[in-house]
Amino acid sequence: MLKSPESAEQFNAFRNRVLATPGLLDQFRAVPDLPSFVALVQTTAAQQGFEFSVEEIHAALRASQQAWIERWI
Amino acid sequence: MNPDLLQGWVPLQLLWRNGQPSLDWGFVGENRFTESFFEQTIARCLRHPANLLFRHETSLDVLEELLAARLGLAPSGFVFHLSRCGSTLVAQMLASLASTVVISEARPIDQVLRAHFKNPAADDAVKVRWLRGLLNALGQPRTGRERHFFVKLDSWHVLQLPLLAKAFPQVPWIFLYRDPVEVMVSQARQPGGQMVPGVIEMEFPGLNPPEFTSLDERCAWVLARVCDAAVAHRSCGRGRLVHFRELPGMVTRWLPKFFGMDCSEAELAQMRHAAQFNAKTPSLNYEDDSAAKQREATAALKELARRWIAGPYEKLEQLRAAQTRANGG
Repeated sequence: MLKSPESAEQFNAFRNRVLATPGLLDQFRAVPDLPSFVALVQTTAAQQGFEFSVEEIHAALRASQQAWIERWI
Repeated sequence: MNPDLLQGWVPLQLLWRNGQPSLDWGFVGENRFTESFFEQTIARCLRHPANLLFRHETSLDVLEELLAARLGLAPSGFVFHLSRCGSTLVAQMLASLASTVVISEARPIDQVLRAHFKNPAADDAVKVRWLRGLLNALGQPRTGRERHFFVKLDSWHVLQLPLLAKAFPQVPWIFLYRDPVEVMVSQARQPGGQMVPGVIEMEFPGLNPPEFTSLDERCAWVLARVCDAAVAHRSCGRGRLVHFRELPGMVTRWLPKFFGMDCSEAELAQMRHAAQFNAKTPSLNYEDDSAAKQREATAALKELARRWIAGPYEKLEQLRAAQTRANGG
């Protein structure tokens, strides 16, 4: 999980911004590996007025992975 | 929500919060559903971090907006089955054609069919609406080459065949089954979710399971309920019963015509080629394991199959024989 409710809320706001912008999604999907993906998320978020550490982005990914794995529970 | 934002996306699952559902969507782009099960293709797509991290969550009303804005392929056929009886082989043969979309045992379909357990307000009328929207979303063309859309259901969904027939009255269906002893051997090796108490509500048509002395006995009871449902709903819509012994030949012999497909010789050859491989483990060749499963069955397991399933199985065989006669042998 992200460290604080505020950062989780911020990440959700960023996520919604990305989902409403198909061009941004295409850029993220074109990235070939995880470190480049995380770097691009961080840069793009900054351009959109959000600030996330590398660790926070990894935490968001882990949370998504965890929720997906636990979907049957 | 603008339906254009969902181009290339499919519903992955219903998320329930306080009895209210929403839809979790995942991006599949032009990826075809070529794996044995819906979940496996989704897992492949979610391996990319962008697809894992950025997923739409919408209300179910979006399904109707999508239905109005972008009509997908109408289903060409439904595949019901007893479990462990060749339904994945049929699905994989159909999926070997670039002209098909084959959705196998998709979780959101199951969740809609069992939605009344989460919220009693999800009655049949609601479920019919959701099913139409959901299948429209799943049956969207993604490569531009698709002409036919098939849905393989979970084994317990034959209990809800009338509901699916109400939602899609024109769609033909098949019900696949095989010797119950062979199904029970496979389930004993690796039980499906429906065989484990509490995982799938097998009571949903109003049946109450009796007390069981073993998991094998519950398995026999569940299989009997599925066979009973296939017998009861045999005349619902346009359906055909198929025995495992008819595989894989029937898939190229009469299924395309029954499902309204006009297959070229090359496409039939493509399906025959797909039938050479084990449908769930394509690195292995397909082989009929009936004799091996009969040998593996214990006397106790055979007795359970006889006690619980022999009756409905015999009825299925009688109905299939009548069907064969009606179709000219």
